[in-house]
Amino acid sequence: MEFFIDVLKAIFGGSGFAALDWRTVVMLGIACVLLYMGIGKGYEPLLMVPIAFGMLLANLPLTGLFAEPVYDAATHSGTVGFMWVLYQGVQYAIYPSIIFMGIGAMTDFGPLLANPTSLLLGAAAQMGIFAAFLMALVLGFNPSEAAAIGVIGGADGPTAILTASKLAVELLPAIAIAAYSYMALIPMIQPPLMKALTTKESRKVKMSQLRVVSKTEKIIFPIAVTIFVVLLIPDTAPLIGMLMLGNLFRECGVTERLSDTAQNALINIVTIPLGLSVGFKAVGESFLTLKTGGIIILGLTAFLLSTAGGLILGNVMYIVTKGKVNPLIGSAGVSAVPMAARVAQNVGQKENPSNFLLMHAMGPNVAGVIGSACAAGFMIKVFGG
Amino acid sequence: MPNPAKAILDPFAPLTIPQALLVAVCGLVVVFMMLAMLMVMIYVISWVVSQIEGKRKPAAAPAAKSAPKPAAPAPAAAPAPAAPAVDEGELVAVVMAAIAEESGMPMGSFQITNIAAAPAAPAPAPAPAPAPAPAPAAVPAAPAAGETAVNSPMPGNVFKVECKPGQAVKAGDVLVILEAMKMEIEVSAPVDGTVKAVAATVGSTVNTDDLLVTLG
Repeated sequence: MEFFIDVLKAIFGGSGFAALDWRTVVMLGIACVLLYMGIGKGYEPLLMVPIAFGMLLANLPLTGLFAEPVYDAATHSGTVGFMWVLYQGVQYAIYPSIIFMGIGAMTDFGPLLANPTSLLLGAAAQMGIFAAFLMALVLGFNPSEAAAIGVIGGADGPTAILTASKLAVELLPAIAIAAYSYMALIPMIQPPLMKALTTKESRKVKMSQLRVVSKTEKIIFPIAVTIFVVLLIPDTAPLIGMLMLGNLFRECGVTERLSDTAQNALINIVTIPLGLSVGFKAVGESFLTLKTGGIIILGLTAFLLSTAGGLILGNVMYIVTKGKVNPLIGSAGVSAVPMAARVAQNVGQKENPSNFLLMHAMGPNVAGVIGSACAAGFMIKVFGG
Repeated sequence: MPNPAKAILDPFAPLTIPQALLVAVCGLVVVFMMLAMLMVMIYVISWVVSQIEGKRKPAAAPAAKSAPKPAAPAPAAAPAPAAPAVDEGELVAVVMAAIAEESGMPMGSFQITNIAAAPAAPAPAPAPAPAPAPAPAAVPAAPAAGETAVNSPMPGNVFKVECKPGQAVKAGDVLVILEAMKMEIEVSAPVDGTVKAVAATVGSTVNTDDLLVTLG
């Protein structure tokens, strides 16, 4: 009998229940709420579900999932935590780069090539990054943290994760969750601002047809951009290089199978460990701080300011071209591809049913991807990530 | 973790207000500079490509299309550098006229069904001396008087066809629903009229300016 009680004590003493503390319980609650947001509400479920489940796993005590490798030379054996292995892809920026390859393979740069001025709209829509950086400094974040938070304003998940992993790794989960939640909310966040910053007249503007872009141009573009941008800022090589490689797969016409894999199977495969790794980093001690609340608020502000930046330059172009450019496409400069372009299309068509802005908005939209990668590269360079 | 040795500014020490503003402004300027340089690069690429392709097949459809405006690298501030505002109907006519001229067919022998197939039409004629832009000749080939061509506003797939030949429609009625970027896009009638012909078939892929419906 005494033996039986001892066994029970040992089992319960070593179980996770004994190691629970209030932080863990709260984190498990948050993980369940995020799961609900992904599954029930459909907020970026492809990322939210793995992130939330990773969070769930990471916060269950005593699992040893994050144990660093231990190698025993005598017996040639060793142990390592499962999460620790997957996390290396985030640590060394492997997952975001591969995801960028998939995005490149999905993206048609045609609208951008047909209307290169939309690159400027993509640059203007990075304003939120720098404005949120300043605000984060005011709220008392240190400069490298503020830079990582600002990049949420680029509305680009992989870029935000890459920057956070280099500049402020303890804030990574909060930044990733904020970035992906707000990206899912773009159809709700943007339209009120778009209506506030444009006039009814300008929203009705029908833009002229985009010219047809020849295949040769589409093939030369990724090659030339890679040479040029990587020579200029070598630090962007993983992101821009992979983005352009994916796009070359798509456009060159002889690697359909690679393009298909990059934009479907491979991006899905990488999304799983990426989401899990982000969730793994969300443990009570680092997540349940006032900083997380600050990041959620700053992220929203960054999104709004980026949208505003694009719209302001859109309005400038509307005036300069005497009403040939619809300022709504400026809002698509935030790089959530293609959500932001869809929002521009919807708002434009509501005003004028025969207005089709989708393709015009894709130009600033893909420019935004390049723009936020540049802004992130700048931040990483300045703060030595 | 950021490495202070590699950093330009100390990543952990608080910034002074002027420093912080400087970082933000510099950052925005750097992003603008980068993208502006890319923009110039794209203009150069398009110009070079149009030069090369223009020599190879002077009367081909894309060349004819860009003909009204020489694709010289436009100054940075230039508005809408791409296609000039060509009316869709006229554009179809330009392309058709160019092809008809090239393959020695009499004007009007084309029935406009699907423009996407047109550039692939056999063009056996030896490339003539750089053909003058056929724009002036275009007008006669436009759709017959009183007919309105409703063209696809963007590349996509035909998701639904909401009209039948012979049906009377009012301006604003939905004719065809396209699907592009996982989004349904309604194409509505620009004018009142009757549906003469429906060129769009459900599930087919269309490009910009492909004919969807003819109204009479």
